[in-house]
Amino acid sequence: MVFSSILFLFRFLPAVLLIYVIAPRSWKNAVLFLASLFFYAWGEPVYVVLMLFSTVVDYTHGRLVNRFLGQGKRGRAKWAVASSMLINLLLLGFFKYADFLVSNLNQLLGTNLPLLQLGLPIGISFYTFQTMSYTIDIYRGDAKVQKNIIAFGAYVALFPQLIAGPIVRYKTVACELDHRRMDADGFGEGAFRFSAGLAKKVLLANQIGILWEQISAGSTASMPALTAWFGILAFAFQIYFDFSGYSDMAIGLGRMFGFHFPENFDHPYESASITEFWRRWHISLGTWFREYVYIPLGGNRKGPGRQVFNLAVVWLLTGIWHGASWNFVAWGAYFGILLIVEKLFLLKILERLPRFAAHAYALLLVLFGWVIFAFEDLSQGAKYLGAMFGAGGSLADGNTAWLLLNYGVLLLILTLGSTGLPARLARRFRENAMAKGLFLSAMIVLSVAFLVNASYNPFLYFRF
Amino acid sequence: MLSKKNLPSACFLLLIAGFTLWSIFVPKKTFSENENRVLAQKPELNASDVLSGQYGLDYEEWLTDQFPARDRWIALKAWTERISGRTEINGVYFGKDGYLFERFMEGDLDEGLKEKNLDAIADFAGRYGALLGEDHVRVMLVPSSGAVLKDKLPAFAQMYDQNRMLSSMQNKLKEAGIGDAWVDVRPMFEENSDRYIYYRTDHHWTTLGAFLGYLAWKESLAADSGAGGPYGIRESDYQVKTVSEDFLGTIYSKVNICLQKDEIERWDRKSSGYEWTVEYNLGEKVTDTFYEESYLAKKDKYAYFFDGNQPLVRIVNHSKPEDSGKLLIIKDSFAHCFAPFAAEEFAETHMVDLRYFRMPLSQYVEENGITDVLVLYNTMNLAKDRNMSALNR
Repeated sequence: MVFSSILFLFRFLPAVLLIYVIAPRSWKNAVLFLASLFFYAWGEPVYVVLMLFSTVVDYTHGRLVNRFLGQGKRGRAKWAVASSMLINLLLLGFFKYADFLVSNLNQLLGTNLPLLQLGLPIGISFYTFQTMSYTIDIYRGDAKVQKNIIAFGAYVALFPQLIAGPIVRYKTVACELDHRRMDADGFGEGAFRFSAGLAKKVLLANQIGILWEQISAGSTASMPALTAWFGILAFAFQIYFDFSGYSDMAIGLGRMFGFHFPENFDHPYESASITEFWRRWHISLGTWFREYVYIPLGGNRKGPGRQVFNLAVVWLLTGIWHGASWNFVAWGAYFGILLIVEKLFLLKILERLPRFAAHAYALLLVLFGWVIFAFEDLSQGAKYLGAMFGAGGSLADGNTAWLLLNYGVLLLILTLGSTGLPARLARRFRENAMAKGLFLSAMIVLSVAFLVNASYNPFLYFRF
Repeated sequence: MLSKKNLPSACFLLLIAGFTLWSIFVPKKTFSENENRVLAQKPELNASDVLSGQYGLDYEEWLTDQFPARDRWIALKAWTERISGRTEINGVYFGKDGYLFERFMEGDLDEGLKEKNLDAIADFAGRYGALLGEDHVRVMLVPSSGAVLKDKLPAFAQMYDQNRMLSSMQNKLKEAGIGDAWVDVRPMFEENSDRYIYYRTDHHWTTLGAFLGYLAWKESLAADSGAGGPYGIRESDYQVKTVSEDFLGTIYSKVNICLQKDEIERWDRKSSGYEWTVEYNLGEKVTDTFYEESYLAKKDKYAYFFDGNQPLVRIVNHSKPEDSGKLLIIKDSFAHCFAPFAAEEFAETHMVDLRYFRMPLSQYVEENGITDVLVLYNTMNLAKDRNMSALNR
């Protein structure tokens, strides 16, 4: 199930809210757990077994790690962590990367191994990363073991962030799993945040997505340069407003139930370097890789050579996390190289440049990155990049003008929306309940209109 | 109890609860008159559909299709998009003078199917030209409104090149040895392009448009017979009556907003004294008029002409002697406002809709003593039609 649907808004959400409020305190986690399983099972009835398996395995491993630590057997505890990680990574590897591996092997060795052709369980990359964080945090003493399997299950399956993040590490919500309060202030804040996220997804991302669909479906051979630029700009806006809209909805829903999830986006398109961009884009994923890969590998503490190696590892992993395909590897490598170059010397130069020049540098490189990201077929991506630089043989045509006339206002709204302006407005009206109520209502009503007549409402993260 | 601070929460809960209850208790519909389609129905619960996820998909489709005030929501979305400067919404161009145009793009159409349909028509025309005589077979394809009223399209709007399709039809007829069968309506339309020849909110031509098509057809027949002249037909020979002033057609239904409603006209030959028998589907229904008044009170007002889409309609003109010929029109709904004109000339006029007609055409032509044939389609309907192979059965 996705948030941006009539089903979620007017069936699932009201039912869950009602049952949750009625349920006695000691049952609330059970309500969340069962509701989350239902939420997941709606689209993936069979794969819900996987989620239950994951819950039981990680719960047991958490208890094991805790017991060994209590007995002073650090070695054994380490083995338990390793076992948990192995199982999670095998799960992820089997369902997400097996066919990628097999098809590459077939190509490389000329073999003809059959593909598994399994559908990718939605959200598997999110929940395996979350459960891995659990055993590791216990081992590190960053979190206390969860003895209640229902509470743990509620964490693993928690529907607000289940399918598209943010990746909530166990220690972030450990306390709130056992002691949280649903209160009027939090509910209001959450509802407002949710409505804003819904509008971002339905009113903005889906709409500009239509422009990208239209342009990317055209032939790159004769595409005017401006059209190609419009296209990739549209894609950049689509993925940002879609993804950050989802995160807003997740954070808002969590807040309604009394959770505080971490922020996931911080106006990334305002960045003045790639380093800054990645501090502001999909923050919870970056944090996860820093905490559980980069720092354990030694981070920047073992000399520049090792740091470059560590960065390379992290960015290849980040790339392939986004999908089992070479373009995502290339995308990760692309940013890895840029980040290494920035770390080595470029950042110092960028800091001396005027802000707008550094900003233009970052935005251009991010846009080129989206070209790599958007086309699974790398040669298609290269052709599109060619079109951006005039390989189509013209600068603009009638269709370019038509696209600008039709989407100009939306592009302007999206540009303003990617800056800090909306957040500043929200702060300005923080105390104005009337303005907030009106805004929230307008966003919901308009979103319903766009959902009832939805010709295009994609779920972009089915490959993650 | 409710402090002002909690206004956003209250709005949220009211909206969610309100829409939820409304959508639960609103009576479910099986058919949307506005969209002219069957709405999704509640899926049946069974284990295999649930496990495959199909039940979930069907349930969501049902819920969205049955959401209350569906048409109003679609209008709200369309208005929002219009305000943001969009001139195309849900495949509809918002043109000048209140015109809505269906958008057809290169790549939207199955070119293979289109070519196959044109071939089927050429093949058909060739064979029947040999059978009935070349001057008794005609093919007329009517472009859609956006391809004719180009100056009313929004700025820079792209439109499928229907001229190419018309030329292709013409060439295929030539190749089949029956080039004279081609009826080109474009010159007649261009002469009258500032007149009301297409509906603003519907994909059909108006009765005036059909009349111009009728003239083009007559001209083509006359050229063949060498008669020439204005073929004795003048607009002033007809009594024009506006039967509806609030027609909202199929294009309107895609966006549910309209700037100007359409008028439906009925043209009757002055002092003709014609008497008709109109027989539907081999006697299923028999009347003495082409018009079905009851539709004027409904949404689908174009069905005023010949009761909408019917497999077979037979019109008998009692004022014409038996030997004045029998015309067979193989057609889509564009023929419905055209047939009243044509029916004046023949003892009998038959209309066949290949989408619903299952009898072999050759048998029908033989059994009914058909003397003349007209293939009359809208270009875009024809390009998408999957029943044209029935022409040559």
